[in-house]
Amino acid sequence: MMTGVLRAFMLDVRRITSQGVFSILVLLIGFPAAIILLGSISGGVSYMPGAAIGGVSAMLALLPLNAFTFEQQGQNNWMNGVIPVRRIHQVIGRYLVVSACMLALALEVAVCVGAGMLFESGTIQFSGLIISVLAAVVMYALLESVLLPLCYRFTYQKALLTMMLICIGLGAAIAAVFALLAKLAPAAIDALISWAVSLTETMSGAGMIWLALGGVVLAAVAAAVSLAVSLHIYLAKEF
Amino acid sequence: MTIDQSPMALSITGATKHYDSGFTLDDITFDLPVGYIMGLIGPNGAGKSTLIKLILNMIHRDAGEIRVLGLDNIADEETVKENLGVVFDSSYFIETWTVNKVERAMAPMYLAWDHAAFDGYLTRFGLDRKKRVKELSRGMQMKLMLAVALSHDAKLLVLDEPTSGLDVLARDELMDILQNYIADGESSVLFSTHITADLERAADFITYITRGKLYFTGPKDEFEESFRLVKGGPDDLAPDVKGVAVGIHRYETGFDALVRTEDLDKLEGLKAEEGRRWAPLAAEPASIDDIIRLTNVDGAVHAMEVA
Repeated sequence: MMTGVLRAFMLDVRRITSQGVFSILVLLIGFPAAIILLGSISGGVSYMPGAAIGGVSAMLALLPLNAFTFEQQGQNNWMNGVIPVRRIHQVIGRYLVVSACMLALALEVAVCVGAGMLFESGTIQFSGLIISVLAAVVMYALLESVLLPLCYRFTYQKALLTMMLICIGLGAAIAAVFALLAKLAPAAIDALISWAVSLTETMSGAGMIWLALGGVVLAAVAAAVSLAVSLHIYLAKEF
Repeated sequence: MTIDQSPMALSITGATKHYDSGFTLDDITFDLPVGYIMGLIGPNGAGKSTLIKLILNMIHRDAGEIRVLGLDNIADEETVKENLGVVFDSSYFIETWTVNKVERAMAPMYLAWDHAAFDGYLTRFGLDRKKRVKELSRGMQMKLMLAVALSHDAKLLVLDEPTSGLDVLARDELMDILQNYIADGESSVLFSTHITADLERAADFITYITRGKLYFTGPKDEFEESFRLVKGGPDDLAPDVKGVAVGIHRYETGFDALVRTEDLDKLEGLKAEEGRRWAPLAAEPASIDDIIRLTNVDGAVHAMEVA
């Protein structure tokens, strides 16, 4: 099994780096380098780590999906039928690529946030650093968990469009619920806000370990469900 | 799982695939013995590529069994594909890859990848390692796929219309390569084509599929000897000819009828009548093209001949 997964992983890495690894490395090194450079010149600006994390997250979110775009080029998906790798291993290999990107994201966020803290206050607050890394990783895992099955089901462009529609739909639904509550039961909004505040307080009171564990469990469940859905779609696919 | 000493390189039994479009590849059964070349022929849309995709598990079969070198093509997929070399009619490599990158991507896929062999084929085919796939002509892309297929000690080559984009010299070269490839007696080739001249040159066996059904499978010579082309004038198309003809094509000046060799005796028109020097009908050997052409005219009889 491991041979098949590793082969699929290696092939996907080749696909992703089809345009060359230089541009990917520049972007990966560029964001932390910019923080350090700007920080050493100006002494640190509070928005810098956030901007860098946004940039690097977007790049790493799209990077593994490049494998799908290359598969859609010409008859490249036929290669999946030629190589001695089972479909199940091909899917696991692709999720391994996402995991590698997630690891890179964690490192990038740690460096960017750590450097930002260092330039801003002269010290690194490790609890804050871990929360930042964890939040980025969990958000990334949730996003990719939705995007990957969509890419297996639809073309890359359609998958992104569907994802966009899902986000807009969710936003609209939440806005509609709040608007409805504001009209029908204004007190419910206050109750909801105070519940959210108390939940946040409880979570921070519970300590870092529980927070981290909750995040990891959430990401793991999302990834497991996503993998199962992707396998279901890809095993039934014909090319 | 290792390959056994199966006498059959490929054994297909009752392979069936239904499409929502209505097309059905129906109950295909044939064997390709080890050490031989089989031509898979049929008109466009006959089901040749569907069959090849079934062998590669790229599409799901609805019924039947496919064994490659004695192994089930799904249960033992990895071992089967380690021993398969595949060439399609168009490149499956990423267009921006260089030839060098193709090797770097494909080499880790196979346990038995032979860098020296690949290098030798690149030199033989005149493929430049620095060239991108999109810069190669269709023929050169086919050669690149062939170089990959031949560089990992594959025991069975499966080629889907490999000669469609090639000139006569390149086709000739490909047939030479295939002949050399099977010379060790352990390797075999299945190639689909609609260029029947390639079959005349290289194929030992023929499997003929039309309208999703198996029409013939067996030795090439037997295929050609199984049919005769009966020709006659416009007034000579007697009921006995219509009765035995597998397919008939009428012209203004006469007709061509494809008749099974064993049915020739039933045609009175082939015998000279009393007082006449010539029989009204003439029987000639049928070429593979004649057989394909006349078994696909409207009203052709879909008889199955399995050798």
